[in-house]
Amino acid sequence: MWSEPRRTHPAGVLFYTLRHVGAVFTSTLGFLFAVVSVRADPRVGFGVLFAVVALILAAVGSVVLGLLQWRRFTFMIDDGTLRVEQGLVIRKSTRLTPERIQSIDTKANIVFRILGLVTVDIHTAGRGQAPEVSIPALTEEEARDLAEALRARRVTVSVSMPATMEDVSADGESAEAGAMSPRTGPTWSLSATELAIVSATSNGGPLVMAALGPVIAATATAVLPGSPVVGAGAVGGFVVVGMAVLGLVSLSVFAWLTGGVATALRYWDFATTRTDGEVRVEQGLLQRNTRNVPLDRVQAVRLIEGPLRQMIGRVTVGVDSAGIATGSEFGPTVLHPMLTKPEARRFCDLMVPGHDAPSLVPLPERSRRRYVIRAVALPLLVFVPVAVLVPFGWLLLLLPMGAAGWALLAFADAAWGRNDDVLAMRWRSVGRTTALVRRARIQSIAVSQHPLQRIAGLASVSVRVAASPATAVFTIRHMEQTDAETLLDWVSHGRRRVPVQGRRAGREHGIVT
Amino acid sequence: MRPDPSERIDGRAVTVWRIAGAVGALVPAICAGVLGGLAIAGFISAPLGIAGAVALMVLGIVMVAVIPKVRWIRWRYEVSEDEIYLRHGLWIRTRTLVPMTRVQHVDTKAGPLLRAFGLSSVTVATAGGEHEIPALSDEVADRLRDRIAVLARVTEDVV
Repeated sequence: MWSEPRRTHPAGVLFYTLRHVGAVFTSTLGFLFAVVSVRADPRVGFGVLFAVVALILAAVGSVVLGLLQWRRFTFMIDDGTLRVEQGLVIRKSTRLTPERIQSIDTKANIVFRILGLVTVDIHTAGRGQAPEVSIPALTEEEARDLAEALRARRVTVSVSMPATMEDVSADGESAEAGAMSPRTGPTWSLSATELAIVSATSNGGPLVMAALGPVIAATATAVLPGSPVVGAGAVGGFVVVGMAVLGLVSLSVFAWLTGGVATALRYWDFATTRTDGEVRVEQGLLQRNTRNVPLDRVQAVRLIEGPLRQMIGRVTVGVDSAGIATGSEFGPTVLHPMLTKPEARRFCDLMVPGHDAPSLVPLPERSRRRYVIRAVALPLLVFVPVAVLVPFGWLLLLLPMGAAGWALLAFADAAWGRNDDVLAMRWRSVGRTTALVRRARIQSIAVSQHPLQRIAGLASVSVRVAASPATAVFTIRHMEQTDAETLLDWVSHGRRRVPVQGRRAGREHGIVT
Repeated sequence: MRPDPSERIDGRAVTVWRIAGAVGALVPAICAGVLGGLAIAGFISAPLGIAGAVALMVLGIVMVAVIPKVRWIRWRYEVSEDEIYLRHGLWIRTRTLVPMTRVQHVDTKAGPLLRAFGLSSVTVATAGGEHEIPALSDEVADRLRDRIAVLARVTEDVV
């Protein structure tokens, strides 16, 4: 079925067209804005006309271009190798051997969903977020077939996972099914109630604003010099305060609602399935994505407790993976948005075996001071002069106090732990994150001390893993220095070396000194 | 406590850093000159201007005379069969350990300034980022690069 060059479903035109439309609209709107901002010029009318015509032309152009691109895109499987021809101006011809494929994902926007189509993204190592090949429009069945055809030829990479992995797959339904039968395994999904809770707890910021809003608005309106209260008399003042409060609260509630709806749409009909060697995550209503994370690419597991979810004892489970599209802005791929802690433990055992959480050790008492000073020093430096110079400036000192409160929390939450194979690091930014890193996945470890830490016998530890650059470093600040030392040794002695010929040859040639 | 890494980087690093520091010190030097000039011309009070100029000059001297030397003293490295161990840092002292099995590739690099002194730096890349040993003599750098390349050619689960 794949041995002849073929095009995708005609709806693929849409895939390309939409790509252009965004760019065209922003540039044309920019032009329009520039024209209109030249005030009171008789040529403005022409400018607007020109922009509108340009917009229409561009829209037509996008469709035509999309059509041509779709026509040009052909693909086939030849002797196990995927061959793709594409590109109007720059002709691009891709040959992709199954061995190089890291994962095959699908996505579908609302139109594709109605038509029963998906876009197939094929990822290889080292391309970061962008897929190596995107096949714009296949029916769901074709996509499954294609994935199977490519998988069938894929060499299974031997994964160095501990024994628990075998235990788990023996329990799961997938084990006896074998590699090539329908790829289903143990699944975790999200019930309607859970989805509602996930959505309601997705962004705490606006809720806090709604709660604090009246207080802030009232103080600001009543206290600040030159506020309406002074001029408008008591009654007028109350009206102004009331309106400010109402405005702030309703804005916050609106932000919370829209955030919640967006979350609900994203996690709609959510399911995580463990198949052999991979974890598959399916999610979304309007835009539906299926993402496969190969287990041998998992670099770290993160248990994330957002402020609201922490209050109800719920955890988000995510993984950092190397060179795989995570599908989220903030780094890790979410494997499950909300689980209780015992559930999370069972979930991790099943989905990402080999990441048994070690028990955690808190930081020594004397590092509390370091946390507070670190958080408060800069705000104090900035705000104290302001507080002295500006009337009612002392209100700004609430900010360093808030920072101090946060620092106390961050100190209380910071912890670390390790067993033979896994390092756990827990810290707080807004929410609380526990990262679990297998020793074999640690790229490097750094222990650093500034003079004050040296005096106190404390040290900060950073561990790097191979994930997207922004999130590749996990740090615990102000640990006991001796503990930091043991971690250096732990990483140092934890290697299992498998010598290959080159090393010996090198020694014989006297390269190794 | 682990013993510190055994090797020092090349002594000429101090000279290179001093030159780089001197270029950087131009900024405080010029500011000092301007302040002094303003003070002499009477635009600002003389004691204030002179104190500022002196402070800036001290800063410049520290950048050239002190910091490069201390940086050199602090820099240590050691490459064993199993790992690369680095120690460096003026204010924040950092010790970094890179397991040899994690090394993906290793380069030597030299900009014009380093080249003028016959020096190179060695950059060790892992999947999680790069680590640099600055200012080794060309031959030491070349030997170290080759040695790391050979030691790193060891398979474990490659990322």
